[in-house]
Amino acid sequence: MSWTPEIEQLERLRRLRKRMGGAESIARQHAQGRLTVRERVDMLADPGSFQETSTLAGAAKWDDEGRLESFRPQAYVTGQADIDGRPVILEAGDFTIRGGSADSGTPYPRVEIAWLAGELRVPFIRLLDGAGGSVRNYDTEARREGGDASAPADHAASDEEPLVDVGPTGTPGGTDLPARHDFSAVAPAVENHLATLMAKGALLAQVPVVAAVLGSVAGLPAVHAGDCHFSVMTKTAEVFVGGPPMVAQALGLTVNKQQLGDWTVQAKTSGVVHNVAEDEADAFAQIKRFLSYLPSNVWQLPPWTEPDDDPNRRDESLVSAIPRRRTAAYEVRKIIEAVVDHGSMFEISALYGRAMVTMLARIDGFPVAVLANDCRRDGGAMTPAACIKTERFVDFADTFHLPIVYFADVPGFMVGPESEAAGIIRFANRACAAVREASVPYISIVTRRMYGVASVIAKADGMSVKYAWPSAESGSLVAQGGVMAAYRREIEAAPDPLARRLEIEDRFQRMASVLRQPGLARPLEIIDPRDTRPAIVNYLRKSHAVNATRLGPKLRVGMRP
Amino acid sequence: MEVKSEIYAVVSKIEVTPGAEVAADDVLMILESMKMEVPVTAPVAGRVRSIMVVEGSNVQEDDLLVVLEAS
Repeated sequence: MSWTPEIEQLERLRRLRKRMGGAESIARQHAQGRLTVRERVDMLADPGSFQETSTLAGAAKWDDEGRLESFRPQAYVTGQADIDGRPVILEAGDFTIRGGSADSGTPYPRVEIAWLAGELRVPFIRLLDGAGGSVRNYDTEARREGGDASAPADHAASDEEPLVDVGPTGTPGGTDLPARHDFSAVAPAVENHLATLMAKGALLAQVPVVAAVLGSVAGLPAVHAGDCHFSVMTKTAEVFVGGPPMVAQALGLTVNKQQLGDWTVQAKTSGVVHNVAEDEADAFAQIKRFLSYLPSNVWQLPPWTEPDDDPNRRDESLVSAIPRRRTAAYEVRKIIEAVVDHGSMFEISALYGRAMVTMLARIDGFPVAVLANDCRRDGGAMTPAACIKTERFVDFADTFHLPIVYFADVPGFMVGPESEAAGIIRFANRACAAVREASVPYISIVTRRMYGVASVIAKADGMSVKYAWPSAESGSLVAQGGVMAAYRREIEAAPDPLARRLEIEDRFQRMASVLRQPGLARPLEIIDPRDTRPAIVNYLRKSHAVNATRLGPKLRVGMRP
Repeated sequence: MEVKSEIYAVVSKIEVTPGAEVAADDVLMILESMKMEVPVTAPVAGRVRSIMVVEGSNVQEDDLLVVLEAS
């Protein structure tokens, strides 16, 4: 006697599982311009690399003769895969099965796979398409019991289509009290290293975590969209904690899904989602690009790649990149482009908190995190959104040992009623705290203005270095604003108040120049802008050895203001 | 081709007139926001078909500024 019947039974259940929610549901998914979960996995993973886990996840029902009556696949596909030759863990929602309901089956396959990412120390990627819990799962009438999975069955493959059942699951006639509610990316602490223990199993402290929003995502999966280092959504996707029916019920508001949580809300206004993709292929390309700058875990250095750009390249455009007239704006991305390795820029969160540009790039083959004030937006002032974006990006760079390169041109934190009402003081404090905590090599290039407490973003302690261009100016506040506050009486008493004000402003403006100052806090040198790339390369090479001795999770103590 | 404002600003100076030929990156107008003068440049070479604002106009993000006919 062999075990062939049981093996055939296994294979049959696996075939059924791959049918997802059945032909009709798949057609509906395609009609919305969306791929199925299987197509997505195939598109993202290296060919042939996907090794599915929990392939039997779902529930089967058997008749008295032991024949399979129906099989209900779980609305999630989980497994190991390679992306660009490096192992990752994937978890992907299947909208064709009851709208990808989070409680469409046992949570264990998903908990297991998150733990596996922590144990193997590889990136964890969630492809989100589905809702959270469904009250239909409490419905006793609709509930069907699973059966004995060991019984053999004799259905032909052609009969399998109608066997896929997508009815509700869960506890009939009652709700489950969450015992161990693994809503966040979790991982076990696998060694006694202090910081690892303190990370308390938080996957975010250990491996890159990525989320892609690819459909209408609500409830638990929506929370996952924010529980990551990098998220991307398509222009036809939405994400919200509660959908339009819930909003109508709770608030009496009539809104559609787009108004609640499309890319203009989540990638632009709220900043919950970092990047926007034109389509799903673009979303996967962005995930691959993101991962290319990162190590597989915090115990490894970011991957150095052979640069095809001259480390000593002096870009001529830099000498006139900052306009002589201090009120003239410029495109800071052109400055970054002239400094970093050719073709290495990947902007993160471009539409949110736009006064601060955040990017991944390479310099001399070293992956780096780039910060840059954009004077075209809000005059380059640190708005609450720009502060939140900075805090998150600095924490991320620090976690993965990415050196930070900051192009500073900041007039200060954003003033005004809107900024105050949004809590600029708290978010300014938090951004500054993140910069203070960062222990990666930190290189600041002061290109123009550096005023007020916001100049803390140009880190002055730890492993940091500061260069200034001749166009740099600094002080506790910009002369134009400060003169009126400090010299009001003198100005008002003058025969020509405006002329008097401009005269005083002019005097202070000259004093603000970097060439007049004995020192910015811890300056290394005032440099010819064309020497910026060689200067950064030099510091990256010198600090690399130190950075390499600081691998592992970052020890974080205390609390942010 | 529509050239839209990327920011909330005041139109401080318009540098082109309808019918003008422009090269890519030519300055079409200067917007002023937070005491910063932000140039709006032509995304492509072409001819200015119409200008939708006047100097002193307040513009919001995504407001139409200039219509270009790409050449």
